[in-house]
Amino acid sequence: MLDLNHPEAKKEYFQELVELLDKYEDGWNVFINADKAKDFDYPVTLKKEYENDPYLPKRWLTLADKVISIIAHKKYELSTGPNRIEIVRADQMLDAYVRPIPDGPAHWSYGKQRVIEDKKYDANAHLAYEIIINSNPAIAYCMDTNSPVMQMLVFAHASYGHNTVYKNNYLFKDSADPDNILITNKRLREAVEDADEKYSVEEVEQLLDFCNSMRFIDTTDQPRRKKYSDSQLLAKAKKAREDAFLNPPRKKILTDEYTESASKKTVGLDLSHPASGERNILRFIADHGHHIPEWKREIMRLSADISQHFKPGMATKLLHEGFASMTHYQIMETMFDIGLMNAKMHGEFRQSHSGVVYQPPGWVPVQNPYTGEEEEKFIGSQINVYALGFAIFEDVKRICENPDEEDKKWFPTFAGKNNWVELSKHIIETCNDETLVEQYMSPKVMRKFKYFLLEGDFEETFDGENSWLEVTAVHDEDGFRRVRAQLAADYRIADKIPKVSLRDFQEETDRCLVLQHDMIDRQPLDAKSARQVLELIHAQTQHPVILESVDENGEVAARFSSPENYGEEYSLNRRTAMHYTAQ
Amino acid sequence: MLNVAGTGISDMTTTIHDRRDEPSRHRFGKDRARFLNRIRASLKKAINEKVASGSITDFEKGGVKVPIPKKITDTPVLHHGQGPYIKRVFPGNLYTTGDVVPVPAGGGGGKGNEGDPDAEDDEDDFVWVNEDEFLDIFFEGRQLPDMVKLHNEGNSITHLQRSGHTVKGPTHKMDMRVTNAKRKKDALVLKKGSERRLLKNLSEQYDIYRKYDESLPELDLKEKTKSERIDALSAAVLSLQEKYGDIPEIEQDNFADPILSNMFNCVSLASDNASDISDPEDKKRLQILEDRIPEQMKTGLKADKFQDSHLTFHFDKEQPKPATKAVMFCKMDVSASMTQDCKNNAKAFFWLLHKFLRTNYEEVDLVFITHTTTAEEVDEEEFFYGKRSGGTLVSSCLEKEIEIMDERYDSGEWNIYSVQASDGDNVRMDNQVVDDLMRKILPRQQASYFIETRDPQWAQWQGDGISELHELYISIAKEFPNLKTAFVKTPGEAMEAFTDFFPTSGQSQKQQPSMG
Repeated sequence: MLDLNHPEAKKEYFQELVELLDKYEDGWNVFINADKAKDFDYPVTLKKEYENDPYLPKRWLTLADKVISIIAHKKYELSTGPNRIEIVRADQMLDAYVRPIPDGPAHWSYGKQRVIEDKKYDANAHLAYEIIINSNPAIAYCMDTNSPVMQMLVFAHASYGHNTVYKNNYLFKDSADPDNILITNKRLREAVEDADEKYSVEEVEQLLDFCNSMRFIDTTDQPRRKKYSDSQLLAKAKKAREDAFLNPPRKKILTDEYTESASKKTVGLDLSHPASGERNILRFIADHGHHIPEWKREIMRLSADISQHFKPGMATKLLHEGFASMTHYQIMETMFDIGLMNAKMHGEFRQSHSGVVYQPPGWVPVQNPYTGEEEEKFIGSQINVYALGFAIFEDVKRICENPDEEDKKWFPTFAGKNNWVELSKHIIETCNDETLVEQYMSPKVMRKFKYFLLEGDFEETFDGENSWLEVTAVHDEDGFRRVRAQLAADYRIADKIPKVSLRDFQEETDRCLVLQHDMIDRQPLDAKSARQVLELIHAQTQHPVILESVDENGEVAARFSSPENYGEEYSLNRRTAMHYTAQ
Repeated sequence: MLNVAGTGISDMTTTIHDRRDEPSRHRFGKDRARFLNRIRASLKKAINEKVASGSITDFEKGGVKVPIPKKITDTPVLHHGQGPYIKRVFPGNLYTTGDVVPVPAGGGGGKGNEGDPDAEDDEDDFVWVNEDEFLDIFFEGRQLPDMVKLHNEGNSITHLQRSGHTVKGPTHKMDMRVTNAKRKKDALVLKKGSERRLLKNLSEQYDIYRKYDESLPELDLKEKTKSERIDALSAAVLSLQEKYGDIPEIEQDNFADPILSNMFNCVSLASDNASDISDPEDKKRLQILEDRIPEQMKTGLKADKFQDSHLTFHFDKEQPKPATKAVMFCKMDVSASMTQDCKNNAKAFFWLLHKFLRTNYEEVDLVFITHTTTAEEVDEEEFFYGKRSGGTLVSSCLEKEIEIMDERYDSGEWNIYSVQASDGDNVRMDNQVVDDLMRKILPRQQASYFIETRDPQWAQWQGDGISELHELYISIAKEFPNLKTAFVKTPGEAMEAFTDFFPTSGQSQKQQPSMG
């Protein structure tokens, strides 16, 4: 019920809500009535005098979104991009599951993924409540089976929580391209469909297999290249043409380079390719594989662009889910507080919310085969990013509002000083997963989940049945720093994906591609998949490719190549133009 | 206060799209087809093994589970292998610093040992294949003997077929290729303005000629409707033609507008046959007007509008379609000695053959005949699960089959397939009658199959060898190659019999068991 004596009633958002909902027959009870009807298509009727106002929501869903947007923008001061909410059936949701963006090109791997998802769905008819895609507008898929309360929760979570991160986080600002991603995707699909017709389906399929296998090495760490306007681009192209005409590039005289004197000169010089160090291998192949047909290179470039768009997502899982959970929690609690929801709806929301932020225990009860007593057996469950992220944001709020001595010790800069809304905004603008844990996880959060650090050599301590790892830090005061540091490291995306870069490209001889993997913490590459990926690169470029894993001391720890055992003489110590001095 | 940077209200707009009523877009169908295509070879191998191993007649909702080697369905990416050293944070502590925790090998929330890479290759993925896809793959390359008997008389199945073009039709049938070609050919379609100017120019020329040759018909085109102009012009052209003989070939013949083309004809005829033009003024004027023509034509060149005469439509004609019709006779002994197990063995064969016929013929009729000492036509349920008591007279069943064939299935019109399942029991003196009847029936049928089934439990009473009835059939089969026989003890063997009867192309047919 509407309570005008509510402590919030003086606030701007509250008055705006009153003004909005007053124009409807159901008034303040429109959400409660929809919940009673168990229908998010609940008919909302405007009062007679407002019937012809085109700006007023005419559907319950639109109205719910409007109310949530008022609370999100006015009370929590979120700044979001435009939204597009799609209410979909289960099969459409499953379609959305298997592809990074809807309407991508057809590929067998999506078919395989869909078969798996279908089977899962048949076994357990439960799908995610929503999926969100970072485009402009941001597209949120919401299930048609969601109840009215769930629909509101999902709107708040995806269209306001996730969307805020997309719009404000520095990684997304730098690297993602929401304005163009759907168009890029469409161009990719059309290019693939064209090629299917013009060339052969098998050839295109091999190309897409190759592009997909280049995951993690088809993006760059540098922010997006500077964008030029069309006129600037034209001027640039014109200048390049003029330059080429006026000062034609000096033709390389190969014979010179093979003369004795020339080869003497080159010894000792680092003649590795100027692009050495490039992380975006796929893009490099597309740009430098002049012998590859243009249509293939175009598909490679588009594929690399799409990967680049999704790259920030990998480094912000915790931040995303934590902030989105915090957003839906705060908005739904506000709605209950000001009487837009009743206790039953609140119960439904809290049940669903606690399911989302549930951290499964790290051990299971088992019966000891000898004594018959129940024991706890360690299984090491994964950390639930929703749970940890939400706990961090909730604790930030608590520290801002009523800090204790411990908080003042660990967070002297903001304990009890800042407005938590402002601080959360600051966090989502400047953090990724790693820094979020490093800077804002409090000892309370650590104790809540009872984090502890396990360390040891898996193989050395293996006794035939179990490996024995040592607990080196637990959730106490001494362990906090170490647990926090390691947890942050666990979320350091640079350590999670192999750091592979271009070392050399023998452009003038056999076009051999030499890649280097810099090992971190002695982590090797998975040999089987590395070999498969190299084979795919070789098949596409038709030229040999070498990948070397180099450890911290600069020693080559592992070496893969396609064809097998190719270019053994090319090693790190002799990276100086072996092809010129070979004679 | 609202904190949206700069751009105001448009930054927070939300649109809601209700896609519940949208039809499925079948994008996934394409993906799935590609996936199946990729795994087809191994799928085929796995399916054939599956068929050989036993019953597949019961498809679950999701289809059949078929193993596929992981190698084909792998999507490799560069990733870290599991190094031996572990350092990670876990939730749910129960220990204190310095404790040692046992972590089971291969378990532990993704931190387990991945095992040795060669073993991984043996692991299979599984895919679920639905009935249609399954049969599609299984039947691939198999052919029915003597399959095509096309019969056109008396059937009313027609289908629309493209045949030629027409000038009138609905928009969706417009043939843009031809239409555009016509338009391009008609490059001289003029714009209205240049058409008017050209007409004025030509009339003036004509008038000048007419000054010198009174016999030229008068042409007054002013204040007339289009059709009146056309009439007047064609009359003039006709009279000129009578006067001077045929019109010479004129380049501008492809004017879309009949007025202009006729006018051109008139003027060129007049000028060809004109007497000397004495007045220098007129001569000069004529020269000017003639010179002007190419320029006036140029301005109107390539009008981009479609003219009615360009529009071309596809024409669809109804054509009778050859229908392929088949009937499958299912005959079974239902006397007490045929146990349910025997019937199940036969059922697998009946099911496969029916599905196979369905893929080859548009229309497949099923006739079920059961017999003991007498035969009767029954429905499917009764056929497989009905039970009657009594002896066995195979001839009764064959007589019934002939009766039904005579009555309903003319062998000139129908492709007839017949399957007989029996445990081999028959009264000995009936065998001669069966022999005679079979010799009558076989020439009328595309193919006939005899399956002797045995319940393994009854083997001790019935023996392992083939029955006299079966032997009789084998001897008939020597004369009639369209009769095939098999001895089946399990549903799996029924499947094998099927693959023997219908080998995939290239695979030679197994020899029939011989009498010896």
